[in-house]
Amino acid sequence: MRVRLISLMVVFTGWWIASLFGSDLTVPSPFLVISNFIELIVSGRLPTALSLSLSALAIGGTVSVVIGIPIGILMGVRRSLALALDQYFSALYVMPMSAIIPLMVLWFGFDLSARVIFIFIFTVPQIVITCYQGAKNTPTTLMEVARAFRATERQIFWKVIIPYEIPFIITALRLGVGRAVQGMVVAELLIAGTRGVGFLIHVYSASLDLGSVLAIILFLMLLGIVFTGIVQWFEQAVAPWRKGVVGEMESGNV
Amino acid sequence: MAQTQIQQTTRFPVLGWLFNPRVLSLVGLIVLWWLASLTQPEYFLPGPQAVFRSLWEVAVVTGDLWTALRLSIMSLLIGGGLALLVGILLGVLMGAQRTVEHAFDLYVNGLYVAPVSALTPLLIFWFGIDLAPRVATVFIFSAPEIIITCYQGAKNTPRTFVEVARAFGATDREIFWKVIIPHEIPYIVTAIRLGLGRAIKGMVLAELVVSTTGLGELIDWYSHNFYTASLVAILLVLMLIGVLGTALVRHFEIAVAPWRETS
Repeated sequence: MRVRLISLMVVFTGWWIASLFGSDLTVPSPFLVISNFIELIVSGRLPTALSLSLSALAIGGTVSVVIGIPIGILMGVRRSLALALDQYFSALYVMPMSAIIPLMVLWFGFDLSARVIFIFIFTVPQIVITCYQGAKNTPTTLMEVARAFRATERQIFWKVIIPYEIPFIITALRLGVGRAVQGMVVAELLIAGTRGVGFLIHVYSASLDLGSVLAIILFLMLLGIVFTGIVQWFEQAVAPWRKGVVGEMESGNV
Repeated sequence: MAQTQIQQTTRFPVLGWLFNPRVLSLVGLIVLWWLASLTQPEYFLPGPQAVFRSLWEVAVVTGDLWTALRLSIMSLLIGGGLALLVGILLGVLMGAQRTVEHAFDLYVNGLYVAPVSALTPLLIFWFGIDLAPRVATVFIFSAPEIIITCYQGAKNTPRTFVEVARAFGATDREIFWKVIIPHEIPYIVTAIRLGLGRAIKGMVLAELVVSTTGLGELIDWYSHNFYTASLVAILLVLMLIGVLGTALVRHFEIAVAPWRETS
């Protein structure tokens, strides 16, 4: 803990000292960034832009959770469905998504729907793959015992597979939230014409106001960390035995 | 599943292969795509035949694809190589030394979950719009992934191994080189696979946001001129690169550490 505190202080003072040597165009001082951030909040620019961006995030994220979890579970239960679908989700998962933005713009225009659909496509593979892994890897011994005690297929599904799946669903939520925020940022950077956070970054970059640009960027990154942190906290409350697994390794991605 | 497949292949080898859900769904998807494309103008939704014609054109007739790939791959190689170098060093040190771990873990974990693409506008300020900002984007995209994987590997070295080595009088240096590093190697290969995926994403994003070169330039040009079939062809190529690249390293990964194969 002490080392972490010292390292934070070193970074902060290092940044401050660097800002003394550079100009506001290269390294704005941390104090300038903080004051610019307060100004962005007080003037209402950041909250207005953020409400636009976050509404796309909320809709796209919710839709991908509502659609992704059932698909993932069904794939884990029905082998043929898994064979039919997993190639597409894996391909979408490894593909550089930013490249499909022009197609989104062509099909859905510049408004909210294009960003919502992009966030959906960006997020849903992560959720499907994680839920699929969970349902697929339900220990066979559990299922065999249930079957030996004459549980029906329906009972096995609801009383064995689903309870086993729940921590995976929450992991899927955590990874999905992270993906959704990333998708939101990519959409903001590449879909011009909406007045979201990306537009603010463009405006301040064009007027060479690096202090404000940095304030928005750091805020966005903090947003991703905080959102993920909230779900992670929830995850540890629900499934404490899964503590310590990080990121993609545990979901066994392709 | 293994049983049904054996039955199918023994009775009707060709039919069994054809009625595989994988093949069926792919054929179904292409047919659906083709039917949908009939109802729309080609600039809006090009059909599969138009896309494959464009793919043939960019890959064989004009060869634009290879020129673009050559330009793109520069940033991937430099940025990814740097990330690998820094990532392995820092990851192993963080896993082996608690002080190093606590000094860096905040930033590494933060960068891992934060949307790093937000940093690209900043990189333009710092590095201009040439090769340097693209290399930096690739680096920032792939380094956290590599660091975290290597860190996990070094940190999860089984305590019993370390204790046995110590009981037989191994020095700290010997424990590092003869216990931690061998245990680390499969993790490094995993890190390469995960890092490569992220690096490709960073490369494409940088080419779209920072400076339009390589594949990003092709995407930009085709989309602005409504050459949608060519655009989709490039997207297919990108998808293929992602899938093949990961599969290739995955293969290598299983060869290096077969016991880590999960599924």
